[in-house]
Amino acid sequence: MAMLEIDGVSKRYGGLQAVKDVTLRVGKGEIVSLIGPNGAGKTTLFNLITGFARPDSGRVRLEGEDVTGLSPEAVARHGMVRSFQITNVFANMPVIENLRLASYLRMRSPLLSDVFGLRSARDRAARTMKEANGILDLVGLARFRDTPAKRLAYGQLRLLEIAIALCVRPRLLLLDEPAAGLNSREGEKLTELLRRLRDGRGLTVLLVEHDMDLVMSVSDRVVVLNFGEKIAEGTPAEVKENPQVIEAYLGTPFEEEAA
Amino acid sequence: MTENRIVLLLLALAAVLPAFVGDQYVMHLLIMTFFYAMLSTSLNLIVGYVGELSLGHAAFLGLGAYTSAVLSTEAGLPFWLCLPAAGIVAGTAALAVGAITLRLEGHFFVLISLAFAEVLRYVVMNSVELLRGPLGYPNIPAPSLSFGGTVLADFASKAHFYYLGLALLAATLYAAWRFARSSFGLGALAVRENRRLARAVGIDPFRHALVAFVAGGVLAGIAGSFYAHYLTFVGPEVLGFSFTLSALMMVVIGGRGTLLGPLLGAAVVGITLELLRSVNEARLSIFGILLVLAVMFLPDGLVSLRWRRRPEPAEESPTEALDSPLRS
Repeated sequence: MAMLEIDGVSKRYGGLQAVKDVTLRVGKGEIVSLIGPNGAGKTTLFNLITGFARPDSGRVRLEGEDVTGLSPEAVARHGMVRSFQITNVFANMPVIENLRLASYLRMRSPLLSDVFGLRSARDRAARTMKEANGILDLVGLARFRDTPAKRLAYGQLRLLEIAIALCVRPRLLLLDEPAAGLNSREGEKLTELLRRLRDGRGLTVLLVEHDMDLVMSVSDRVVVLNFGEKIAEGTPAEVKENPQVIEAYLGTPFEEEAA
Repeated sequence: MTENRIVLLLLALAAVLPAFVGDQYVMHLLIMTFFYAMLSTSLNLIVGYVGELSLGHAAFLGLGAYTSAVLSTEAGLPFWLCLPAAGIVAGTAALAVGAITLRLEGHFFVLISLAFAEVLRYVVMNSVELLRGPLGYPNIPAPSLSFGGTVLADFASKAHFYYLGLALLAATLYAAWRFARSSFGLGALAVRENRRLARAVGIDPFRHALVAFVAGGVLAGIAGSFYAHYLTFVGPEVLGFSFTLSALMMVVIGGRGTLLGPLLGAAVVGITLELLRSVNEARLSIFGILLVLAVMFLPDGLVSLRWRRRPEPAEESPTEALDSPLRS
């Protein structure tokens, strides 16, 4: 069974057909990239999948379970967690507190045992903390553990966003332009991190990205949107050669651009 | 010194103070400060921890005060039953109101919360038969504490009321502290800091806002009960906007989302209000100006003063940090 199935999802905003009848599947343990020119509907599709917007028609299923139209928090509880295009962290808090907040659902005990500080609630909090530290190590932010998030450099913030999402223990991770604003060295680190998440943790990733180096090197499959419609789908090599994609999105063939 | 220690120290100081202060007027001021500290602590749960501006907080204060007034004068129930009843009634009302209004965000919630309290006030004003309308309830009996026929404490005296107020304040602070420290408080904080991200990691803003709203309502109702039995009179003005405004000023000037803030705010605002009594007409104008100044120059309240003097910790990576888009 596929991790994520999107079936004929559409969304219209006034006169704008933002997403039109998009169908796509993401298999377990796959990294799939969603690409397309600006305004192609990539972020809207993310919003539709994660409950931040409600599709006009179509269904979204996570491992066979229908999650169409659920609230964002309910979608997250089902194990589908997203990051945002515009950097989104708890800016006023230290890095570790960001992760603690994200681990909230697992830390939560029954209200009363929690409010009265019972042992079971404290144990749970300690376990969550240990896991948060592990995730910091994984993304390479361990030395910024107690730094307020707003003091982090841009690249570190993007990593923090991923760390926040990981704390929710997602089955499916949706990243909206994680490489935006990263330099090439940071981009490579991100590529490596995504591979490690897939291979080491068996995580499934759906990615919206403009950085073609990252997309082409990390993706198992690439899906191309243009004007809200899916125009192509395939391996990075196939998509690169697809004339429709080249025309709609890349403008010039890869060889010429590289030359 | 941590915030909790400062709070404990202040409470301890307050506990020994009556040994040195005999003046009845000063005692009265302190008792009212305890009352205001309870009220602003309860409001702080909503304004400070969830980040929703509730302008209808006086409704819960008033419901608590009226519950106590009616139960003690009409039904003759003792204070010790009226007090929890006041909390339950106010909390139930908060649950009903919150379940509807907290689905609204931002401005809409602010307006509806204000409207709720005002409507309630008009209803009480006009219920002459049922709730004595503008006449209110005079002669609310003082609590008494007796055991097997022996009177242990007679709250007709200011000193005993002082300790009752202090004990209730301590209990209120303890409840607020427990709330803030629980994972529930943490979730509420996440909602306040970044609602969208909170939702993306699975935190339900509505549920958290509602729990904080009900907790705030219960505590405000208990404060209202204390108010009723201390002043022995309750009229429709306990539902008035001025109580909400005072509590809000105390929370903002003291420091939102902290335990110590509302306490400091209640002391500073309460005492200043009292000192300005001689220039009564200008009192609220002066307060308006103070509030504006506080928001402009001390947005995190008085509690932020003591952290401000401490030097900033050395930055890990000063050059990288400059690039951060979130740096303010």
